Amino acid sequence: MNLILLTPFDLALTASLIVLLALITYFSKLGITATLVIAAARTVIQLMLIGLVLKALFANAQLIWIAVMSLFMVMVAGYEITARQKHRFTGLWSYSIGISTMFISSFSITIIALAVIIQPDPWYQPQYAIPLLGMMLGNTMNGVSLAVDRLTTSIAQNRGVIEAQLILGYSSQTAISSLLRDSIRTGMIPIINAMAAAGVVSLPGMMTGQILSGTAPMEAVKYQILIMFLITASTGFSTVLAARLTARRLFDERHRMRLDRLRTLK
Amino acid sequence: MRLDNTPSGLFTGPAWRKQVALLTTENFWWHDTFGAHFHQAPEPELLARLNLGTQILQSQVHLGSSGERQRLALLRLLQNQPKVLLLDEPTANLDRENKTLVEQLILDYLRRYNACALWTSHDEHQIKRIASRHFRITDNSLLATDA
Repeated sequence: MNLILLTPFDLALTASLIVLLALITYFSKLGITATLVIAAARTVIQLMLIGLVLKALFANAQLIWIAVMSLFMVMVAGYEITARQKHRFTGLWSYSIGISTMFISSFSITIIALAVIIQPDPWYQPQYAIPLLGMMLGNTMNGVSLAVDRLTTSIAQNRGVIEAQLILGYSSQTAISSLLRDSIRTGMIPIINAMAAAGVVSLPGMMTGQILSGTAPMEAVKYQILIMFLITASTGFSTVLAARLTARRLFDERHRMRLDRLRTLK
Repeated sequence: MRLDNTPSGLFTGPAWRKQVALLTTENFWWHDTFGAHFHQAPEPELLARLNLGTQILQSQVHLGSSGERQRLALLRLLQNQPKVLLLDEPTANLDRENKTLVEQLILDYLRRYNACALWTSHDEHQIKRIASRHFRITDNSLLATDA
């Protein structure tokens, strides 16, 4: 089976669906039209650009360029995590927490998966490395931003109760333990749901892509299982780590709550 | 700052707060029932001294009156057996009878545990009843008055 090539006309036709949706949201005054249009435009521009970058990268598969590309992806994911927070740390703390946890978890898991499990030749072959890292980062970023946002919001909302516990001599860890648990769960639920629904409700995107491009279904399935597990591990480790680092930053060594280290966007 | 000659820096934050206990005017509760907030259920005699029955421990926090909440918050704080009490209007929501009961309980506690209290009040009569020293806050300054 050969891949059916899409024409610009095919894409324009699909874009008209987005235009229709934008019109409906505009006239229903949902206040989301601008965000929708900008996001759709970003999809087109960013994917076109990445298409060009990947083309160049595949033609010129040197470790240094792949490393540069990977680091850039991690930085952008760190920025995205911060951009989704209602309460952000002052200074560079929000970025640092996002970037460092993804570096420790997503980045190293991708390298292990390439070097030990998939073993392309060379191990950094960009056709494997870049999409793999991209899938890890995309999912991990969602988990981390959900968990951290939930944690900071719930701590700010429950300020009175938490301080009452600190006053009674509880440690900060005890005072926020249930909030920390909830936030980690919030970050991990999407990927757990995705695993539970995989194949039954939805065919995962990567597997669909491989099948569309002519891979035998069982081969695509094996890859998808591998990817699902890697993504879940990456998301889980990052989420736990990011939530703990965030919790630690919200209290000082005298177990005082430090909401002054956050600034809140309206 | 020192507590029994030990500098405050040698205490961890939580350890210090167990010894130097603050009773806030607004009290917060995080479990469903009052009883769940105590490491150990208060003795029935202790509850009775504050005009509270033992069944109050099983009752829902949101059903408690402000007076009940205030008295139970005091008992919750005293469970840590603090050496210093910082009391911010501890009897603000109480009627005259319960006010007297709370005053007596606190004074007994101070005597029994050799503890001391810093107590803010707007009630001149209360100040006369309980205070060994009295300071008045006026225009951001602290003035000693005759006790």
